[in-house]
Amino acid sequence: MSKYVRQRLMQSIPVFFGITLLTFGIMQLAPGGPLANMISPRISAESLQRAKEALGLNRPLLVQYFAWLKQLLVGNFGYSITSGEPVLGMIFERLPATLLLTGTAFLISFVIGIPLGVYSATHKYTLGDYGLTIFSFIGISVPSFFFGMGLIYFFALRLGWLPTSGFGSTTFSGSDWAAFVQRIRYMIMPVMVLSLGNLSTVMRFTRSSMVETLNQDYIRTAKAKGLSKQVVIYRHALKNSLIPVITIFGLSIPNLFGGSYITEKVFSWPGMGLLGVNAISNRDYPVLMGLTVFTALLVLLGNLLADILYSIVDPRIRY
Amino acid sequence: MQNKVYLARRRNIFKTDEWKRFSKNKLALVGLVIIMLMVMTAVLAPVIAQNDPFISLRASTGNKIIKNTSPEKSGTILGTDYLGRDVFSRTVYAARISLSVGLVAVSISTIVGILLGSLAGYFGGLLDSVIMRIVDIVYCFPVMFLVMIIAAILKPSIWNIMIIIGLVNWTGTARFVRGEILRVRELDYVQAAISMGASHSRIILSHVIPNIIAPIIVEATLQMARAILTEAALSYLGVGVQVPIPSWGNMLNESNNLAALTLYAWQWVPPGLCILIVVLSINFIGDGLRDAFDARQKK
Repeated sequence: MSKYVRQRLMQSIPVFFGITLLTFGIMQLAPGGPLANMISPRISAESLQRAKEALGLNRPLLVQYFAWLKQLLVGNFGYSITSGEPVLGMIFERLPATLLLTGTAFLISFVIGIPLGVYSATHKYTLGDYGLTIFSFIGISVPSFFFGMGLIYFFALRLGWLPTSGFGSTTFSGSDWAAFVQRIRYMIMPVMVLSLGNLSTVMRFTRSSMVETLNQDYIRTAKAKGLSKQVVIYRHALKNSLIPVITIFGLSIPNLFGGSYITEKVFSWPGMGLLGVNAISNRDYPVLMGLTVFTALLVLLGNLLADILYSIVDPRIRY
Repeated sequence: MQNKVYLARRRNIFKTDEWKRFSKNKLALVGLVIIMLMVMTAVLAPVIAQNDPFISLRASTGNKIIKNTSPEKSGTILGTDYLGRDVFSRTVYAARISLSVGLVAVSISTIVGILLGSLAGYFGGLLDSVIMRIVDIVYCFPVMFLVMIIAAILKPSIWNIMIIIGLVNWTGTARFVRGEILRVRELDYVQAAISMGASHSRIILSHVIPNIIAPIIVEATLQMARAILTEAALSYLGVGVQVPIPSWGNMLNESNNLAALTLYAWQWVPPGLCILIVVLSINFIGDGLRDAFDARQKK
C-alpha cells in the first residue's frame, strides 16, 4: 500500500515538471511575448530592450523557466495585464463559484444517474430502457452552449421563471433563506447544462455494469435462495456494479475544475471559466498561464487522491 | 493453396457477421443514413444552397429590409441573419467545416495515438515510461481548456483547429494501444513472427495492429463526435473557425444575444440542431460498431 503511494508520488514529479514546462512553452508561442501589450509606435526599440533586460527576458529560456517556476512555488503567479491584480488572488476569488457549480452538478449526476442506470438495467429492453438509452445518447451529444441557449430561451425568456444569467446578489449568507433561494434560482440552468453530460455517462456505465453483474452466478444463487427482488438488486448487485462507476469519478476530476468554461460563459457565471474566457478575448497571457498551471496541478492532485482512494476501496487492485 | 485463394478473395462486407450485428442495431443504421446524407450535403453544398452564404441578400436581391428576416418574409428556407445572409445556405456550407475538422482531427489523433502507444507497448523500458508520462501530462489539462489557449495564441485557422484538436485527443488511443500491444506481443503468433526474424515495424504493422484495429475504429468514431463538439465550442467562443466562413459553432456565437435569442430563433436553432444530430448520429454509429466488433455478444 505505502509502496504504491510512494511510487505514485514519484510518478507525479516528472508530470509536475511536464505540466509547468508545457505551459511555459505554450506561452512562449504567444505573439510578441510577455511584452506584447507594451509594443506600440510610441515606444522605442531601446526602451523595449531595457524593459526586456529589467524583466530578465533576455536570459536563456531555461533560466527564465526556472525563475518562473521558483516564483510559482512561492505562490507568485504573476499579474494580470488588464487589471494589474495578482493572478493567484483572481483565481482564488473565483474558485468558490466554480466549485459550487461543478460540485453540485457532479453530485446531481451521480445521485440521479445511478438510479436511472439501475432502472434501465432491471427493465432491460422495455420502453423505459429504450427511452433512457436515447436520452443518455442525446445527453452526451448535445453541445452545452446550445442546450444552455435553449434553456434560457424557454425558461427565462418565454416562461420568465428563472433569471437569464448571472450569480445573484453577492451578499450571500447561509442563514438568509431568501438569498439562498435566489442563489438556487440562478444555479438551476447552469447546473442542468453541466450535469447532463456526466449524468448520461454515469447512467450508461451503471446500466452496462449492472447488466453484467445481474448475469453472475451469485445473483442466480441469491434469487434461488428466495430473496426478494429488492434485496437482490440493491444489496447484492448494485454494490458490485458500482466499482466501474468509481472510475468515472476519477475521470470527472478534470471537469470539476476545467469543464465549466462554456457553461459559465453562457450564463455569465463569475467563476474560473468566465475568467479564462475573458482572459482569452483580452489576450491576458499571465492570467491564462496562471489558470492553466493552477487547473492542471489541481487535476494532478485530484487524480493522485482518486487513485489512492481507489486502491483502498478495491483491495484487488495491485500495480 | 486452395485456402489461400479463398482468403485472398475480397469478402463482401454486407455478408460478414459484423455487418449482420451492426444492421440489427436500428439506431446505428439511422445514424449511418443521417451521416451519409450530411456528407452528401457537404459535398453538394453549392448545388443545395440557393444563395451565396457569404453575401447579404440585400446585395443580390436589392431588397432593402432584409436583415434578421423570418423565413416567410425573406422567401428563404430558414430566414436571414443579422447581416442579411441566407441562414440555410450558411448552415449547409458549415457542414463542410464540421465534418472535415472532425475527420482530419481524428485522423491526426488516431495516427499519433497508434504510433506512440505501439512504441511504448512494444519496446517498453525507458521509452515506455517517457511516453506514458507525456500521456499523464496531457491528461492533466482539461482538453477544452488546452485547446482554447492554444487556439487563442496561434492564429485561428481551420487547419490550426484541426491540428490542435488532433494533438490533444490522442492519449486515450495511445493508452489503449499500449495495453493491447502488451497483451498481444506475448501471444504465440507474435512470438513466432519474432523468431522468424520479422522486423519490428513488420510485426507491429502487419501482425499486431490488424488484430486490435476494431476497437481503434470504435474509439476513433467516438472521438470524431467529441472533435466536432470541440470545434463547435471553440467557434462558439470565437477562437475557432473565423467569420465569415460559416461554422455551426460561430453561427451560434453570432446569434448569442438577447434579441436573436428571443426574436430570431431561425438563426440559432438550425445550426444547433445540426451539431446535435451529427454528433448523435456518430455516437449511434460508434455504439453500433462496438457491439458489432464485440465477439462476446455474438449469439
